[in-house]
Amino acid sequence: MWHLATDVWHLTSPKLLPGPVKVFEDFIAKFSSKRSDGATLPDHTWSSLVLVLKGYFFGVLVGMPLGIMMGWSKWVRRFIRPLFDLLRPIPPVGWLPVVLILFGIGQEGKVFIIFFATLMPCVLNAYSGITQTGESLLTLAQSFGAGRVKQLFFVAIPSALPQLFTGLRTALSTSWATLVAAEMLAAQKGLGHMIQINRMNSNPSYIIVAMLVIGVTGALFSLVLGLAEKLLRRS
Amino acid sequence: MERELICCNGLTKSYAGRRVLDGVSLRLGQNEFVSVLGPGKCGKTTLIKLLSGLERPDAGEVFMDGAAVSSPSPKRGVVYQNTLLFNWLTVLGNVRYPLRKLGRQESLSRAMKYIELMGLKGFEKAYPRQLSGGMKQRCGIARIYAMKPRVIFMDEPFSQLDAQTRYLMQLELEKIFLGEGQSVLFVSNNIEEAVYLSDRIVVLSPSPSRVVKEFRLDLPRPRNYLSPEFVRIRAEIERCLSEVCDG
Ligand SMILES: Nc1ncnc2c1ncn2[C@@H]1O[C@H](COP(=O)(O)OP(=O)(O)OP(=O)(O)O)[C@@H](O)[C@H]1O
Ligand SMILES: [Mg+2]
Repeated sequence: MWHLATDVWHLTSPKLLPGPVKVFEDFIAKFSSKRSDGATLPDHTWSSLVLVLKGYFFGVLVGMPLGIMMGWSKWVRRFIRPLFDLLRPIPPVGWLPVVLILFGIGQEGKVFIIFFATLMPCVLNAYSGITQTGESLLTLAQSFGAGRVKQLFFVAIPSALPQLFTGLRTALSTSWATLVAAEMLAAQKGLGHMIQINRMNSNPSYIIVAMLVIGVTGALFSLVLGLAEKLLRRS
Repeated sequence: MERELICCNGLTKSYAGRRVLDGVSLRLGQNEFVSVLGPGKCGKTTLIKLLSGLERPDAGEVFMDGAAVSSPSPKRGVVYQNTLLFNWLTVLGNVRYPLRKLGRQESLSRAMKYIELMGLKGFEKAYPRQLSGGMKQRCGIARIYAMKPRVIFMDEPFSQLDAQTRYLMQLELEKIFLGEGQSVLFVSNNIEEAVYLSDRIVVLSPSPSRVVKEFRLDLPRPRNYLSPEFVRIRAEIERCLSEVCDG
């Protein structure tokens, strides 16, 4: 349909919406060309990937244990929950101005934003997953001689596993979307930047290429996490 | 009676202001099989929760070997009316869960032994959601048998089984009870089953319930459902229960 509308019937100007053939050609060319936005497609993609994975890694590393402890311990909950209720409504990109002031336009700032984008879904899902562990399951484990620590690791966490994975998945897709948005606002490289620059240079086919790569990468992320979850549940 | 293992005095428990148990006192000797019979909803499950330490009584005390019972412990195995399994573990995983201290080989062979005994061979890799209600129940029973606790509390453990399986389970339970020297406190809604298995039968009144009558059964084992003595005592208990139920 896209092909018909553009290349065959010429309903729109190629300046506004290029046809799939042109997009595909540009996609191939962009692998080595730095034209228009200063970097090749692999460079942009790699730059975005590294940022997202760094931020995600630290976000999960902090967020999961924090959420689990919040769900498990009344004391941790009492102290940290109010802080989270306060931070939760702030969208990750909302940190951008603060980050720009603190870190400038460089990569660290974006890692920090991704860290936040990851932290929230991880903490919230882990927290609710752990608090939903049936009290009777814990008592059952206790009646088999499991102490508090074993109840946490062998009952609460396994029973919350589906929600922990929901957290991981939500966090990854949020991070990815957030990164693109952040790059559109302030960056020198990356897929979001590629979109932004090519909008200004009126290069619509590059924009479409970037969007496709963003979409496919996002889908790959969910696929990988889905497989990981299956493997973990099988063992 | 032989040496006393469990004893409770004046157990009282209310839920939401409604009194369920009103001063229940019981004792259970070592290697003794005691059944508790009573009208529906009279607080049999509640009694088991208190005796096993799952819940605390409002008044009264529970002792095991002279020490106060205040929390669940692997020394006391409970087969629940509604079996609760860890649904992320297989049948084998569930039965092995309490045995982790034993070491791999020992826990595996012991778990397999009881899985087989409960007729679940071939299902050890199945997850709880793939099992029927009766199979879950048998898995819960295998888990407790494999633990070899000093006392087993059973809350209508065979209620979801068909008649044939139920009969087999009764035979196995008697074998285990006679072989391992454990004590069993058995809640049942089936008088025949209780008479077949028990050394003693305790009858509760409707709630707020207390112990209204005790029967001692000295018939030799294995018992014969059709012997005149069996039939006589069964009829006597039936009469007693219907009197209790009518008030
Ligand atoms: N946790 C609870 N909260 C409120 N009420 C409860 C609770 N547990 C039991 N009850 C009430 O106490 C009464 C006795 O319950 P219990 O389950 O001990 O009886 P039961 O003799 O085991 O019944 P059944 O014959 O159905 O097995 C019931 O009326 C029940 O509704
Ligand atoms: Mg009951």
